[in-house]
Amino acid sequence: MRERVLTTLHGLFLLLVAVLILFPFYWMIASSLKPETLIFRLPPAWLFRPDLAGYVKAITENGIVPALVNSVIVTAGAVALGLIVGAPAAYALARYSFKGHAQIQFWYVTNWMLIPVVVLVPFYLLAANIGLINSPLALILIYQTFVVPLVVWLLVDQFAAVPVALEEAALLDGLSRFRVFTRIALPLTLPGVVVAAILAGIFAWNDLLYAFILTPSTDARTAPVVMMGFLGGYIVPWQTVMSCAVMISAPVVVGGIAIHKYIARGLTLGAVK
Amino acid sequence: MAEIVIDGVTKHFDSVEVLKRIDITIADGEFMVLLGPSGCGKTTLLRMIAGLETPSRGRILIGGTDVTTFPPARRGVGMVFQNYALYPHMTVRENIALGLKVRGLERTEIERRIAFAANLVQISQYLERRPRALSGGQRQRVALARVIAREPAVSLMDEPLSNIDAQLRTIMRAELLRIHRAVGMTTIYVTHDQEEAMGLGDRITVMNFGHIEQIGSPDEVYAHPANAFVARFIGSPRMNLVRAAHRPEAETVETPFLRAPVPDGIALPPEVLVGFRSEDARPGEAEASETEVRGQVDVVEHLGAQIELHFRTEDGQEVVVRRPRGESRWREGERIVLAIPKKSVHFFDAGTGAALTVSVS
Amino acid sequence: MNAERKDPLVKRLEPWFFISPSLLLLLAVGLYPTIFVLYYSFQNWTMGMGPPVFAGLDNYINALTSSDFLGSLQTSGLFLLITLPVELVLGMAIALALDQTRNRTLRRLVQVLLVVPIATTPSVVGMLVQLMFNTQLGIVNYFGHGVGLNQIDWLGGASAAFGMITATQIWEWTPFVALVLSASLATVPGEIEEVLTLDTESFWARFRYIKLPYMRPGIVASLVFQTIFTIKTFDMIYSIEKGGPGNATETVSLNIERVAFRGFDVGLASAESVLTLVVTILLAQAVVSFLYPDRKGAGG
Repeated sequence: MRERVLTTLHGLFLLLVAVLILFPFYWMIASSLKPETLIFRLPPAWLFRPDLAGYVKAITENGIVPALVNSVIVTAGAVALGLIVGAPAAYALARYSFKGHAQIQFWYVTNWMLIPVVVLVPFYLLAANIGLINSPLALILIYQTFVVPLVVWLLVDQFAAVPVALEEAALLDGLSRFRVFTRIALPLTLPGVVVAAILAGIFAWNDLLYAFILTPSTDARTAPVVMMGFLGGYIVPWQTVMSCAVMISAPVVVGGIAIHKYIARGLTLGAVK
Repeated sequence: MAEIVIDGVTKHFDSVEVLKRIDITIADGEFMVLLGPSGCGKTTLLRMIAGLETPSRGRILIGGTDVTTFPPARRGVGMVFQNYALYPHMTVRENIALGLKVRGLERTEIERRIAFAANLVQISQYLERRPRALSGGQRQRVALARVIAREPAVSLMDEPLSNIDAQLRTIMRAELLRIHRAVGMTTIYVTHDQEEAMGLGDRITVMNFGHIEQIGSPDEVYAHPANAFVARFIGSPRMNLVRAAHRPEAETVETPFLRAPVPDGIALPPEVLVGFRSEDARPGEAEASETEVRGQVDVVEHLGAQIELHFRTEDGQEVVVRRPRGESRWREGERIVLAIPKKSVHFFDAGTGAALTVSVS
Repeated sequence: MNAERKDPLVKRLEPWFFISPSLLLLLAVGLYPTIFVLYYSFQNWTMGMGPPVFAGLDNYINALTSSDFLGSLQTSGLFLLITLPVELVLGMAIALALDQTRNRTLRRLVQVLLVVPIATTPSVVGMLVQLMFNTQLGIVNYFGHGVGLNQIDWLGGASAAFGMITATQIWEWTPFVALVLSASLATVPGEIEEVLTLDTESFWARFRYIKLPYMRPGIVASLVFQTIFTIKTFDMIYSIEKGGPGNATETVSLNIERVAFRGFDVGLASAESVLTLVVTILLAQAVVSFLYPDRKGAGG
């Protein structure tokens, strides 16, 4: 009897958690499909006829599409660069023991811990001098401060898990270390690389601070910056805003769900020695 | 009193019936072995006694109390798991102490029990070590000590020797017996190894596909198997079972290769299995009261103290005979006759497997 | 063998070939600008109002006596102090409930959902919060009214606004903590839990002696990650009210951003940045010593 009560309580608690997580998303999607008057109707209009005016406005008047394209460019570029420089570094940390090994790891962690605003102020001034403001390159570069540490963090364990015997055999066959890395280690860790790419991509896509300072212009701005355009106006077009919100958050939510099994494992395995 | 009664217990998982109507009574202090092949339900039954599974139907009584709805902690049972299940993050001492600590025993009492149990299983010198620093045999003894220190009414063991290598196993078996004599707890022991069962059990419950084939002392199941399954499962090499057709009303089972006098008062079905143990068959002429089997020698193996003779009847059925070293030599391919004394011959119904005779010892 | 005939010097430099690209990149993008911060912190410079002028320690004194900056430090500190324990406790409750529940579909559903708040764009969350916490017409106050609470002026009241961002932060990050703790709970071998049930019915005994020891690495990892993520929080708070009403939700990050990009006082912002950096470095030391306790022996 007591068992039964406890089990129901557990189930109800988890159900509550699920509802609490899902409700805001429901609200976001529903509001994107309701005209302003319906959005604020109390009691709430649970049933309504959906209309796409918000999405239409977001695309035609607020230029969400070019911004999304910019987001894609910046995210893809940042992830690509991060993987290109980060994967070899992770490999080296996994396979070599050398003086400065611990210091290097400390360096990556420190970079990740930097409070963004602190790096942003000087970076902005430097970028302005070189004329990098409003260029996607500015974002791609500064995103490395968190992409590279993340990539290294996640991939070190992946590379360490590749059987050493495979690599030794290849070395004995005359392959250079670099070839061993590209031909043997990398293919075997591909799933891990994909997870790292998606996770880093999520953080890059979601960034607001760097983006609205470094690429504020209408041409160059990324998707989250569009949201900022709605702030502070006297009348906020909520249906349009929520439509933008849906379009911006959909890719990352999907990406997160795709890798949900690996997030906790990947992030903590590095910490559990 | 820690008598255990399993009363009408059945168990099914979804639509699969894993245990079909089990009734067993185990006396206080008895060492009862649950023996059977993998999947026969013996471990499930053990776990139900522990309270880790619940029966779909039926009751379980421990010491006269119906514990069927009791959680494991209230049943007064201790258990040794197949993989020992030692707490890896604690020392041996802490492992043994934890069960006592959560029951609120006093520190001095806990210390006393740890000392007693550790001494009994001879691990006193490992008390401060962690499980990962111990060998398989040592870990098993720690698991035992944990149960002993608990002083439960019943101790349950789930194939505790199966993860130990063969040579150590025989030593550990003797140890288990010694400890059981010393402590006298009612013990239920699960294994698939019939030799282990025969060596350890006061009584053996032979199980197959979720039901009981036979309950009896080692001698009973060996000499008087209740059916063909038990006959084949117990004993190594297994009992020889030769299939033969029988004319009803005839006084002997007669085939071209076999002549078996039927004991008085037994009615045999048209098809029978004639059973006899390897050590009871004697190559040579058969007397009138004896069973006679004709065939040829397949392979002769010299096993040191014994000779194992692989024999094939005229119609192709295999028979194994064991003779002491030094008896006459046979050539492979040679045609011989086996004689089996009347008291060593068993008859089984070829269809149901049920024993048709209880041979007189 | 080719591998052994390599020049020993080259062999020793090998790992550095792999590492240097990322190292140089981070040095250029991270360290180099940060050094400039040091330089600017001693200058009196407001963007667009003439060249920098050396100012000694003026900026530091301003920062350390500015109620804005000190207030933002306090806000950040309070923010961290409240969210961390709540996230830990709630996260553990969720992880334990997940572990105990038999309903497989519910468990899988929640496990997938737990990742969603972390993945969601924080600025989107901020705008959504604005919508939902609207004083007259927001859904949150509607539900609150339904259970008998008074209308709360979330966006207008200082402590209400702080409560709002705290609640939102907890909503965003508790699932992550739950995921991490759930993963470490999953490492408990099922058998040893069973063994303990033979001795006690108490859930708390099982929790204390078995689950908790296995969760310890996860708890440490959670605290470390959460500290860092919480300090970095900017987008969500900014997109709600840019630190408002007034300064009520202005954490250190928002304060520096305001001084630098809305007040254009690079000198002051730089000094504040340096001070914040010092705190960050101290924290980094602590973090690394938690994550890599055997630093001396760390090898490949």
